[in-house]
Amino acid sequence: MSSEQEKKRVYRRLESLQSVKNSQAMYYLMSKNPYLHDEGKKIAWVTSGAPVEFLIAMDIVPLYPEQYGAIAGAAKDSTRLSQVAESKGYSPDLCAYARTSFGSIFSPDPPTPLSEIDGVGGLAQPDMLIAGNNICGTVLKWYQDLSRYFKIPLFLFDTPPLMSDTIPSYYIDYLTSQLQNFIKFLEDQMGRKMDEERMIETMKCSRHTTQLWTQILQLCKTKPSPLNCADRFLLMAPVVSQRGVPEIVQVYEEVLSEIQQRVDKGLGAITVPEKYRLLFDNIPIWFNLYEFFNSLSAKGVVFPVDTYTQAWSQKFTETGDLLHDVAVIYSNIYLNKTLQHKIDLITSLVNEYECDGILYHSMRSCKRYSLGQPITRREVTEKTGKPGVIIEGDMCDNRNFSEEQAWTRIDALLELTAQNIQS
Amino acid sequence: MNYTPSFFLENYTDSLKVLQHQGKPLLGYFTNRVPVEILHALNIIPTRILSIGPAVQGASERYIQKFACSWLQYIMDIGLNKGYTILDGVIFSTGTCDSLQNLSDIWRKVFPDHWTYNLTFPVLTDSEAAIDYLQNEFDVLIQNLSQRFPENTEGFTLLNSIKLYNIKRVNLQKLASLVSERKLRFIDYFKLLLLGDILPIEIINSYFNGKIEQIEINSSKLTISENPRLLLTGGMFDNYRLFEQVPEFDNYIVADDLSFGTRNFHFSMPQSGFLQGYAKAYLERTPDPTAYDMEKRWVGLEKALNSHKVDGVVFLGIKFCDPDSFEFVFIQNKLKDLDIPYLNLETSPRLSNVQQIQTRFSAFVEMLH
Repeated sequence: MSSEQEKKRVYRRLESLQSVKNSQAMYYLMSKNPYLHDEGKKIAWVTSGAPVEFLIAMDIVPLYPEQYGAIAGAAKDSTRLSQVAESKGYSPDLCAYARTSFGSIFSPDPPTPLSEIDGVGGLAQPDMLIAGNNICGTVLKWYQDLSRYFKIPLFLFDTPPLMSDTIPSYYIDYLTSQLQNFIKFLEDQMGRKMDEERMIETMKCSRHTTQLWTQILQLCKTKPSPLNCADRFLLMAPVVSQRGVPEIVQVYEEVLSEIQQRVDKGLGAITVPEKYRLLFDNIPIWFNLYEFFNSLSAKGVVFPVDTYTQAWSQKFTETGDLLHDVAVIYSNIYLNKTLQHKIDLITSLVNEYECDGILYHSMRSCKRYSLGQPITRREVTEKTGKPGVIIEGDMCDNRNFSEEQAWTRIDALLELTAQNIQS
Repeated sequence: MNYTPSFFLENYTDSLKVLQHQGKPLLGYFTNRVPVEILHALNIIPTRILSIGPAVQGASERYIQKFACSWLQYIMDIGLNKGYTILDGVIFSTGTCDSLQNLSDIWRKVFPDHWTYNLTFPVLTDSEAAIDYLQNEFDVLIQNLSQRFPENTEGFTLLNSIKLYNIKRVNLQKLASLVSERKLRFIDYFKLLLLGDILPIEIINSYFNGKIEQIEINSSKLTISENPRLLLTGGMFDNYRLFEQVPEFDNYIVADDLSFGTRNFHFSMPQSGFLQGYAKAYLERTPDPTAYDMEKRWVGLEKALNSHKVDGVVFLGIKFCDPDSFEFVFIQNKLKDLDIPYLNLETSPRLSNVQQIQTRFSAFVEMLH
């Protein structure tokens, strides 16, 4: 960041963010440990909605091509990698995370994004693949292609979309049967039995991590909000990739403590007065993360809540039947539910976090998250009286983002919000 | 049947009104995964939703973004032109394609008075648990339909319906053979495929019987073309007007692997009334690109390439269709390995790039001669 940009920075620095970054750097570094296999560990590439606790309990290091896509996006390298994938026939209309992932595998140049973090380049080569389609259907085809490319086994955890809040018993039976197969699959891959006690401990740890994350998010109901969108998007990395790892609990306790202090002292995430509180819907524009939110912060705009980071703050079901509980947790995912559910959730978040408006990011390469936002926008505004606008962009591919067009719409939203507040 | 296939297709949405006069509920369905035999057994007329009716172009943009599957966008455009109001409801088969999954939600919002049902399919196809799941989904579908249309659903027997649809499948296989033998033009075959999906099974079976006989009699007079033989693969393409506007297709296409084509009939259901076996057969039927591993898809496709003695492949993808986009990469690599020439085309039901398709197709076949 140049000194001029530094001057304009209106973010309050979050000291504990460094602990999160350190934990992530260590995580990526450990995944490149040349003795990893000798230590009885293996690497799995997994989707963000996969039941990762089983892996951690079996000494399998989960790595996330989606997270890699986000890092490549933030490093402004995703478009280059996407173009590599496109040169092999993948359509530019496909998920940018998938294209980035393929590009990093096919790229003749060493992939760069992670080298800034751990000095060792792209994701470590996987021994197995785990895909859960609770986040989208694209992961099926993506992971089938990865499996063919690497010639390694793929376990697919199928969670058909939930059409109502009542989950039929045959649905749970289908999922628990798969989870039994999943344990068998992992045992076969590792050549040893799963330690049930350790699995229970890992689930407890995962619950604890998620509870801490939920507390962190809920503190943002405070005015001024102690965290902004970009903060949460960076802080979320460990709860996505390492929930169930004991060390992560300590990291989030540190984050929670700092945020509680901010709340106690009345300190907000931004250093200028908080004028407008907005909700952000969808994955962020990674390649423009700080520029985008910092520019808004300068106008007194803060985002105390977003739908993306809320995905890891779900309530845990505890019936004492582990597989049943996992089935319920991993099917009750925001993207695995109906549009009505999304509308209801956004409506309640707008009310709970006292938002003045909503900014919807219509993400060209993520159909599951984005399609239907025009309806969501209208219904949420009808229910809450708060205005919303849709900006078009992408999480990683900067060719799909017109900054000028986005700002025109955002300015319109801020005008509407101001009028709304005055009236 | 007093109408020609062309008349029915040209007047697609009006044709649906003719069907309504049969006095039975008329249900539209999306994709060939919806169990039409169950609907028929419940005295319901299933009619597959097509994207060939008159539409208010761009009307759907108020509800669904432009990067949604272009086929589904156009379906919405037709719906917003009141094209499907005659239907007593629609059934979505979901669980695999993101655009379709989201559209089912959007449909409920845009047409709140329309009865809309989601049948969610498992992605796993080779496990007992998946069969049980699907059997239960079918059971719940039957319960819902019985409640929705109580006066029509007494005396449910699946067996007779399975037999009727198996006859249709056999007839379509015969028609496909006639195309391969170059005794039936591809455009005429394609129209018959579509007709087979929208008209009641009793009418279509009788019509196909007569049609096949007629083609076989007339074919003795035909001069068989020696042009290179092409297979047309791809996804949810149903706009037959493309083949009218680019008549050159007719001279070369001898086989297809489309969702509305071979993938819709190249199997038969077990002739028993048990739902478990029926669910199993639905999962084991011809694989489609949404869920199945493409290696499984390739087994059937490679067989088709050999049996039809194909010289080249045309991939016809739908704009913004993710499964098509993934599948193309796979098929392209396989064809490269086998040294089989291929052409990748992409369009939408709006057919806004016909000229480009014409030029590229001509250049491709020139290369094959």
